[in-house]
Amino acid sequence: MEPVHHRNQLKPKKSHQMNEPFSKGKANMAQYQHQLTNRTDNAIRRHMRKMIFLYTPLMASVLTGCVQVTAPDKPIVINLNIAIRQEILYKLGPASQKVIENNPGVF
Amino acid sequence: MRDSVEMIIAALLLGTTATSAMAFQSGRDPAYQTARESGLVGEKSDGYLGFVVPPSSAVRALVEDINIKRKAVYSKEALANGATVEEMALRTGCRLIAERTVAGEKYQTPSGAWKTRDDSPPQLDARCPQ
Repeated sequence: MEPVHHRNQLKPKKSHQMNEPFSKGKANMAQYQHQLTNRTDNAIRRHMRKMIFLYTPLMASVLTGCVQVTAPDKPIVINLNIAIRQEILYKLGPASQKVIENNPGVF
Repeated sequence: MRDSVEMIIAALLLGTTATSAMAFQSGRDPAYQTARESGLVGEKSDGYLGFVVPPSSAVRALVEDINIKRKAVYSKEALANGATVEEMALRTGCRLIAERTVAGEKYQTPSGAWKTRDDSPPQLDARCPQ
Protein backbone atom coordinates (compact mmCIF):
# COMPACT_ATOMS: atom_id res chain seq x y z
CA MET A 1 0.00 0.00 0.00
CA GLU A 2 1.17 3.34 -0.89
CA PRO A 3 1.95 5.70 1.96
CA VAL A 4 -0.35 8.72 2.38
CA HIS A 5 1.49 12.00 2.16
CA HIS A 6 0.44 14.75 4.44
CA ARG A 7 0.33 18.15 2.81
CA ASN A 8 2.95 19.71 5.03
CA GLN A 9 5.06 16.69 5.66
CA LEU A 10 6.33 15.15 2.51
CA LYS A 11 6.50 16.41 -1.02
CA PRO A 12 8.27 15.29 -4.13
CA LYS A 13 11.66 16.87 -4.10
CA LYS A 14 11.39 18.60 -7.47
CA SER A 15 8.10 20.44 -6.82
CA HIS A 16 9.34 21.39 -3.41
CA GLN A 17 12.33 23.10 -4.99
CA MET A 18 10.23 25.06 -7.42
CA ASN A 19 7.58 26.20 -4.90
CA GLU A 20 10.00 27.88 -2.50
CA PRO A 21 10.37 31.61 -3.26
CA PHE A 22 14.18 31.53 -3.31
CA SER A 23 14.79 27.93 -4.11
CA LYS A 24 17.76 26.52 -5.90
CA GLY A 25 15.54 25.33 -8.70
CA LYS A 26 14.27 28.83 -9.36
CA ALA A 27 17.75 30.22 -9.32
CA ASN A 28 18.76 27.70 -11.95
CA MET A 29 15.68 28.57 -13.97
CA ALA A 30 16.49 32.27 -13.82
CA GLN A 31 20.06 31.60 -14.81
CA TYR A 32 18.83 29.58 -17.76
CA GLN A 33 16.43 32.33 -18.83
CA HIS A 34 19.16 34.89 -18.50
CA GLN A 35 21.43 32.86 -20.73
CA LEU A 36 18.64 32.62 -23.28
CA THR A 37 17.69 36.28 -23.36
CA ASN A 38 21.02 38.01 -22.66
CA ARG A 39 22.78 36.98 -25.83
CA THR A 40 24.26 39.71 -27.97
CA ASP A 41 22.38 38.42 -31.02
CA ASN A 42 18.97 37.94 -29.46
CA ALA A 43 15.94 39.07 -31.37
CA ILE A 44 15.29 42.37 -29.56
CA ARG A 45 18.86 43.52 -29.82
CA ARG A 46 19.08 42.48 -33.45
CA HIS A 47 16.05 44.59 -34.28
CA MET A 48 17.23 47.56 -32.24
CA ARG A 49 20.53 47.49 -34.11
CA LYS A 50 18.64 47.46 -37.34
CA MET A 51 16.63 50.48 -36.21
CA ILE A 52 19.79 52.35 -35.25
CA PHE A 53 21.33 51.75 -38.67
CA LEU A 54 18.08 52.77 -40.35
CA TYR A 55 17.31 55.88 -38.37
CA THR A 56 20.73 57.40 -37.60
CA PRO A 57 21.22 58.85 -41.14
CA LEU A 58 17.59 59.93 -41.18
CA MET A 59 17.87 61.75 -37.83
CA ALA A 60 21.17 63.31 -38.84
CA SER A 61 19.67 64.71 -42.03
CA VAL A 62 16.69 66.05 -40.08
CA LEU A 63 18.98 67.72 -37.53
CA THR A 64 21.27 69.32 -40.10
CA GLY A 65 18.19 70.58 -41.86
CA CYS A 66 17.23 72.41 -38.68
CA VAL A 67 20.72 73.85 -38.09
CA GLN A 68 21.01 75.26 -41.58
CA VAL A 69 18.33 77.82 -40.81
CA THR A 70 20.63 79.82 -38.50
CA ALA A 71 23.67 81.10 -40.40
CA PRO A 72 23.13 84.29 -42.40
CA ASP A 73 26.24 86.11 -41.10
CA LYS A 74 28.40 85.79 -44.20
CA PRO A 75 26.86 88.70 -46.18
CA ILE A 76 27.40 91.00 -43.18
CA VAL A 77 31.14 90.33 -43.24
CA ILE A 78 31.25 91.11 -46.94
CA ASN A 79 29.32 94.32 -46.35
CA LEU A 80 31.81 95.39 -43.71
CA ASN A 81 34.65 94.80 -46.12
CA ILE A 82 33.16 96.90 -48.87
CA ALA A 83 31.90 99.58 -46.45
CA ILE A 84 35.18 101.51 -46.81
CA ARG A 85 35.93 102.45 -50.42
CA GLN A 86 39.48 103.61 -50.88
CA GLU A 87 38.79 106.15 -53.63
CA ILE A 88 36.09 107.74 -51.48
CA LEU A 89 38.62 108.13 -48.65
CA TYR A 90 40.90 110.13 -50.97
CA LYS A 91 37.98 112.27 -52.02
CA LEU A 92 37.04 113.00 -48.39
CA GLY A 93 40.29 114.79 -47.56
CA PRO A 94 38.94 118.36 -47.78
CA ALA A 95 35.64 117.38 -46.19
CA SER A 96 37.36 115.89 -43.14
CA GLN A 97 39.47 119.04 -42.82
CA LYS A 98 36.35 121.16 -42.92
CA VAL A 99 34.52 118.99 -40.37
CA ILE A 100 37.34 119.33 -37.86
CA GLU A 101 37.68 123.08 -38.32
CA ASN A 102 33.97 123.79 -38.14
CA ASN A 103 33.36 121.71 -35.02
CA PRO A 104 36.17 122.52 -32.59
CA GLY A 105 34.19 121.41 -29.56
CA VAL A 106 33.90 117.74 -30.50
CA PHE A 107 37.41 117.02 -31.84
CA MET B 1 35.54 110.71 -5.65
CA ARG B 2 37.46 110.19 -8.86
CA ASP B 3 35.26 112.71 -10.65
CA SER B 4 36.03 115.40 -8.08
CA VAL B 5 39.76 114.64 -8.33
CA GLU B 6 39.53 115.02 -12.10
CA MET B 7 37.69 118.29 -11.69
CA ILE B 8 40.39 119.61 -9.34
CA ILE B 9 43.09 118.55 -11.80
CA ALA B 10 41.13 120.25 -14.57
CA ALA B 11 40.82 123.43 -12.56
CA LEU B 12 44.53 123.46 -11.70
CA LEU B 13 45.57 122.83 -15.29
CA LEU B 14 43.23 125.51 -16.53
CA GLY B 15 44.54 128.05 -14.12
CA THR B 16 48.23 127.31 -14.55
CA THR B 17 49.25 125.75 -17.85
CA ALA B 18 49.32 127.41 -21.20
CA THR B 19 48.17 124.33 -23.12
CA SER B 20 44.89 124.25 -21.28
CA ALA B 21 44.37 127.91 -21.97
CA MET B 22 44.94 127.21 -25.65
CA ALA B 23 42.54 124.30 -25.53
CA PHE B 24 39.96 126.47 -23.90
CA GLN B 25 40.39 128.92 -26.77
CA SER B 26 40.14 126.11 -29.32
CA GLY B 27 36.68 125.25 -28.02
CA ARG B 28 37.25 122.01 -26.15
CA ASP B 29 35.47 121.32 -22.92
CA PRO B 30 38.08 121.64 -20.13
CA ALA B 31 37.17 118.25 -18.70
CA TYR B 32 37.61 116.68 -22.16
CA GLN B 33 40.96 118.41 -22.62
CA THR B 34 42.12 117.16 -19.23
CA ALA B 35 40.99 113.62 -20.00
CA ARG B 36 42.99 113.74 -23.26
CA GLU B 37 46.11 115.10 -21.61
CA SER B 38 46.01 112.64 -18.73
CA GLY B 39 45.61 109.71 -21.10
CA LEU B 40 42.18 108.61 -19.87
CA VAL B 41 40.74 108.82 -23.37
CA GLY B 42 42.31 108.55 -26.79
CA GLU B 43 41.56 108.81 -30.48
CA LYS B 44 40.47 105.55 -32.06
CA SER B 45 41.33 104.79 -35.68
CA ASP B 46 37.63 104.73 -36.60
CA GLY B 47 37.16 108.44 -35.92
CA TYR B 48 35.70 108.24 -32.44
CA LEU B 49 37.02 108.63 -28.91
CA GLY B 50 37.83 105.53 -26.86
CA PHE B 51 38.61 104.73 -23.26
CA VAL B 52 42.25 103.91 -22.58
CA VAL B 53 41.44 102.90 -18.98
CA PRO B 54 38.06 101.91 -17.53
CA PRO B 55 36.28 105.27 -17.33
CA SER B 56 34.58 106.99 -14.46
CA SER B 57 30.93 107.79 -15.01
CA ALA B 58 31.77 111.43 -15.74
CA VAL B 59 34.40 110.54 -18.36
CA ARG B 60 32.09 107.96 -19.90
CA ALA B 61 29.28 110.50 -20.21
CA LEU B 62 31.67 113.08 -21.67
CA VAL B 63 33.07 110.72 -24.29
CA GLU B 64 29.69 109.30 -25.26
CA ASP B 65 28.35 112.83 -25.69
CA ILE B 66 31.26 113.82 -27.93
CA ASN B 67 31.01 110.61 -29.96
CA ILE B 68 27.31 111.19 -30.58
CA LYS B 69 28.07 114.73 -31.77
CA ARG B 70 30.90 113.43 -33.95
CA LYS B 71 28.61 110.87 -35.53
CA ALA B 72 26.11 113.63 -36.25
CA VAL B 73 28.64 115.79 -38.10
CA TYR B 74 30.12 112.73 -39.89
CA SER B 75 26.65 111.75 -41.06
CA LYS B 76 25.89 115.23 -42.36
CA GLU B 77 29.19 115.53 -44.20
CA ALA B 78 29.07 111.97 -45.54
CA LEU B 79 25.67 112.66 -47.06
CA ALA B 80 26.99 115.82 -48.72
CA ASN B 81 29.90 113.87 -50.25
CA GLY B 82 28.16 110.65 -51.27
CA ALA B 83 30.11 108.63 -48.74
CA THR B 84 29.07 106.36 -45.90
CA VAL B 85 29.26 107.53 -42.31
CA GLU B 86 31.99 104.93 -41.66
CA GLU B 87 34.10 106.23 -44.54
CA MET B 88 33.74 109.79 -43.35
CA ALA B 89 34.55 108.78 -39.77
CA LEU B 90 37.59 106.75 -40.80
CA ARG B 91 38.98 109.51 -42.98
CA THR B 92 38.51 112.09 -40.25
CA GLY B 93 39.99 109.65 -37.73
CA CYS B 94 43.16 109.41 -39.85
CA ARG B 95 43.44 113.18 -39.79
CA LEU B 96 42.62 113.46 -36.10
CA ILE B 97 45.41 111.05 -35.15
CA ALA B 98 47.94 112.42 -37.60
CA GLU B 99 47.28 116.14 -37.14
CA ARG B 100 45.30 116.72 -33.98
CA THR B 101 46.96 114.53 -31.36
CA VAL B 102 49.89 116.17 -29.60
CA ALA B 103 52.76 114.49 -27.77
CA GLY B 104 51.54 112.73 -24.65
CA GLU B 105 48.03 112.04 -25.91
CA LYS B 106 46.79 108.53 -26.63
CA TYR B 107 45.74 107.03 -29.94
CA GLN B 108 44.78 103.57 -31.06
CA THR B 109 47.00 101.72 -33.52
CA PRO B 110 45.47 99.51 -36.25
CA SER B 111 46.17 96.48 -34.05
CA GLY B 112 43.89 97.96 -31.37
CA ALA B 113 46.63 98.81 -28.85
CA TRP B 114 46.81 102.22 -27.24
CA LYS B 115 49.94 104.20 -27.91
CA THR B 116 51.16 107.53 -26.59
CA ARG B 117 51.86 110.07 -29.27
CA ASP B 118 55.44 111.33 -29.46
CA ASP B 119 57.54 113.09 -32.07
CA SER B 120 57.59 110.06 -34.40
CA PRO B 121 54.81 109.72 -36.98
CA PRO B 122 51.80 107.79 -35.66
CA GLN B 123 50.80 104.30 -36.81
CA LEU B 124 47.78 104.95 -39.02
CA ASP B 125 45.22 102.58 -40.50
CA ALA B 126 46.44 101.08 -43.79
CA ARG B 127 43.43 102.57 -45.54
CA CYS B 128 44.33 106.13 -44.56
CA PRO B 129 45.41 108.15 -47.64
CA GLN B 130 49.06 109.05 -47.29
